[in-house]
Amino acid sequence: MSHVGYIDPNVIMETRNLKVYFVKGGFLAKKQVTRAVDGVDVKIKKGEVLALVGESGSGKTTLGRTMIGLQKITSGQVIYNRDGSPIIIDAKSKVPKYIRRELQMIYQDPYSSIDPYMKVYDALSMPLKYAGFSKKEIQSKIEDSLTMVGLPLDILPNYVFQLSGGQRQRLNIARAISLDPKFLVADEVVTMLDASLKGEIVELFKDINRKTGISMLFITHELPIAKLVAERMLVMYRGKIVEAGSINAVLKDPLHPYTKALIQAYPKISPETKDVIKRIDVKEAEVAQIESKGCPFYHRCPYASERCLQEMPKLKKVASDHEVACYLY
Amino acid sequence: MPPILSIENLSIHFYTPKGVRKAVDRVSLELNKKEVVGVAGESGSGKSTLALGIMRLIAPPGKIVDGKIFYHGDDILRYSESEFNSKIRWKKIAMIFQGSLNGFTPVFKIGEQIEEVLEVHEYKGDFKERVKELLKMVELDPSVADRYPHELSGGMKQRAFIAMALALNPEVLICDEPTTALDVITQAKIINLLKTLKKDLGLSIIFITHDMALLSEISDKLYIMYAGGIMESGNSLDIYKNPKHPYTQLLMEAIADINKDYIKGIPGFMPDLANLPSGCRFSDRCPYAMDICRRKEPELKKIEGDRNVACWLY
Amino acid sequence: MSSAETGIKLYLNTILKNKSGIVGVAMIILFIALSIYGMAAYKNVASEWNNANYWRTYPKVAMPAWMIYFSPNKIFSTKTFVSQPKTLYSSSSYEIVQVDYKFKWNKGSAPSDVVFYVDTSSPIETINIVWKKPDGAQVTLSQSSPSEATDLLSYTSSLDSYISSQIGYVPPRVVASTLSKALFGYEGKGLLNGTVEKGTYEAKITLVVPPHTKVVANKLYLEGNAYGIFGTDIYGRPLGIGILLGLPNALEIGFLTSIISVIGGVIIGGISGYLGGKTDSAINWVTLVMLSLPILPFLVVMSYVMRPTLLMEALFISFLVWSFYAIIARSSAQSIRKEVYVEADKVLGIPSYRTFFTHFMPRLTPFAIAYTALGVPAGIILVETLAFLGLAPPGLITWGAILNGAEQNFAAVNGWWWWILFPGLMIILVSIPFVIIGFSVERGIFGGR
Repeated sequence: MSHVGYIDPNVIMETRNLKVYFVKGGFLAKKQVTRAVDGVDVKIKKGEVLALVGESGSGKTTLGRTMIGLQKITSGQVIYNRDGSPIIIDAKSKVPKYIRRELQMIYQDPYSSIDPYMKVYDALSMPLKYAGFSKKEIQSKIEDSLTMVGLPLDILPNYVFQLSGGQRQRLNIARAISLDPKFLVADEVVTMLDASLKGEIVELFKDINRKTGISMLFITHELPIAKLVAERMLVMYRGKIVEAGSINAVLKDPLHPYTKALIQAYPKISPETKDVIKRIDVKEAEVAQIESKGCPFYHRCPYASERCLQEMPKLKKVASDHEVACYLY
Repeated sequence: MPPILSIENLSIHFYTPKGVRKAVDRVSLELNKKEVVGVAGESGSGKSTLALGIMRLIAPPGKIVDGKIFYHGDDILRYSESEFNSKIRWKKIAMIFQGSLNGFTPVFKIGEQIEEVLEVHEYKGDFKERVKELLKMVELDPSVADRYPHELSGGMKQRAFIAMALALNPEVLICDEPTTALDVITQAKIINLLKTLKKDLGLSIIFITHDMALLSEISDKLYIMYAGGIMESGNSLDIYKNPKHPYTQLLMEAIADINKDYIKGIPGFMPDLANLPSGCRFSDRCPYAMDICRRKEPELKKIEGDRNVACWLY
Repeated sequence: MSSAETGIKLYLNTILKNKSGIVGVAMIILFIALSIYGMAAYKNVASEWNNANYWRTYPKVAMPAWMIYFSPNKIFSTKTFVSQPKTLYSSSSYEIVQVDYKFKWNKGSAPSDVVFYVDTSSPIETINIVWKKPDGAQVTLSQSSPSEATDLLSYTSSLDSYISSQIGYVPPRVVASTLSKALFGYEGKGLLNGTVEKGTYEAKITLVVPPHTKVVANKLYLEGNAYGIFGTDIYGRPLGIGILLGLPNALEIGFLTSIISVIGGVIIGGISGYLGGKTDSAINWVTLVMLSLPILPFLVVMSYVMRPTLLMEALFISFLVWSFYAIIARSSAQSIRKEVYVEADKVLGIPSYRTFFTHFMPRLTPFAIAYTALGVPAGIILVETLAFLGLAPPGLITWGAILNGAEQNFAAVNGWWWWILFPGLMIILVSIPFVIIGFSVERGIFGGR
């Protein structure tokens, strides 16, 4: 058992210097290392919804998957604080079977994350059956979760392909929460839905969190969605957490140059600016960037210095609920 | 000055085994010089079909069944395919779209591919100079001409495609969800670029997207599309401030904006375009639906200034 | 496993929705009905197929009967005559019975054969036939201890001496046509040139029999050169019956090999693709090796060495063919493995074997059904090829064996086209509905999704 040190009882999921690297190529081809998660320290409090914001390539999906054991760890630890007895997952260990159902995931694409040719009833009952519930319990759990996600009970005999995208996503959620998980990763769950549906699903997540206290990691690249669903957020860029804090603090007063640029760039309802060239403080950068030991934003950062190239700044507390990893602070 | 592009009652239908899908149903639209017209619509509203229709790229089972498209007074739907291809397509009206960043073939350099466009359309002038000029226009380094597509990022590829679209100096650029596949920062930069091109080249743009917030940042005029028809049109600022059509109102409330604290959804589903309801196409989801709305379809009519609404409330 | 059921139901519907699919199914039902009819109606015949005696009274290498319409003068069916036997002499040790036939012959060609059939209560001691031609010429053929139905060919010595007396020598091969030419031709050097004497013929047949022998039945067959829907072979066996009786064997082998090889192949390939990793690599290696084996040479060697039964034959072929289906199933399974819902199952705690049944099976089943249909013709053709080479299970009536007979008897050279055409056509015809169904299901799978 690796040495763990202090574990905060209020924290349900924690990562310590977590690194997940993908290596492509082998003997003859040149090795290509993708540092998807590069030294990440995250703490998720019990019962909270934490938003993980980043663009594609930031490593946010990999981080979420690693936390629930779907992805092998290269180095570092994921610590799941299970009612006082922490379970540590590192590069050598695997997620033990008995906690499988406590760590759940909702996927992005409702059309490919449930087999369309299944019956709705089967999609819901199978996980429960293998979790060991009795037939009666399964029936009542199914009814409860369908009600919780706002789907009618008469949907049960239908086939999944008969459902709309929004309904399938709700079904996904019902499937996951019926197992009474302790921790849920929602990976871009509203990205593929129409604008008219996003609001409802987001409300649903908040509702579930309120009613059941399930802790959540809500991964998204849409800032307004993060704001609606969570109180705290992390900003991730190319494998590293660059800023963390309460949503209001980060959005109102972004500190990291990347976060700043992100918020500058993000579309806002502003018809009066239609002829105004938006200001975005980001440098043009070459594509194939050399991965360095330092800050991954170096090449695009307008305030970058030599120091940024040498060593990655650590997350530093700047206000009561606001941390940033940048030498500017 | 009269509009440079005027679409009148355009209808595009798709003949499928399940029925006739009215993807575009009697749509009229006007584009003036140096103007950005925004077309807003959710998925399935027919907005992409509209774009393809203007470029006359509708393939069977789709067909342009009715309507006129006037370009400087000429109905370009009447042109033969070869006439349209040699005079209008890519020369006067060009298009960029969501997948166009993959619109380059991977085996040739960017410069070569743009030169090919120049050659096919019989550009008179030095090819290499023009390519340099175009790349500069889209804020790319001229050395990009010697690169292969896979060496460029998504944003750079989209810019390069815009360069290719502008190769023959078109007057109109149709943009169908050009930034949806790009990250937020690149998206903002491309929008900036389009604004610059509008100012410097006098480009007239039709910008189509589902992202209402994005649309607000670039449109002069706005058309709200739903299930194949136009629900509301008018000055962009006015519509955002004061949406008249119930659908537009609900859309505004559903926009996810950073400054908002909540977003509302729109209950119900978009109707099947092969089975449009009788009466107003939005009637089954409209909170203000009246009897007449279900019986008779409201026409798009002027209610004040340049605002047109298709709704029985007015 | 309701998903599997749905899968199958969906695809049965796909077949039936398509016009060609309905045709295919209709054809198969027709074939199965014909097989059942054939097996029931011709049960006894089947066991006599290889008994030459049984077919003695049938015309040999007769073309299909419907050819008569094209040339009624030269093509005709068998003519039979019955006579009233007369006892000429009776004593305590023997009796002499006379059976006389008189008939007119005005066809442009001679009968293909002449057969005299007589059924007596006790064995005949000698037969003497005096054959009288219209111009008065006479041929005498005699034989002692004849069998029940005698092809006049069997009167070898008398026939040989008659022929040599006319043309000066005995031809090296005296066949039925030689006999008929001799009996119906003009005497002299041109006896065997094929010209036919038209007119009234007489056959006076004298039987020496034990006392109190009754002649139960008698018939003189002037074998035609046309018989049945598809003609006859060199033993007089109607090819129509041969083809009909060959059908159930063909279908049986086709179905057996197809089902065994497809199910086996899809399961092996599906599981291999599903498992991935080292197991998959190992199984894949085996599959590829099997795939590269040349089927026919192996089959020929195995059949030659082991002389298998029908079932073993089916197993052999399946063993050599499963790898084709395994490859397809594996690649299908691999792409299913990449789907998100497969990983989602893992997260939800569903064991992997269950995932295989819920997601993989229903997607592999349509393949299996499509290829079961498409695999039937392959099995049939392989078996018929073996039969043609003389390697099929012996005693089995197969179209390949019929073709083998045609080949061995130089049917092509002799112009007996029906012996080759119809069995050959059947092999093609029987494949058609399976191919139609197979393709329409395939279209359903790839079109629908």
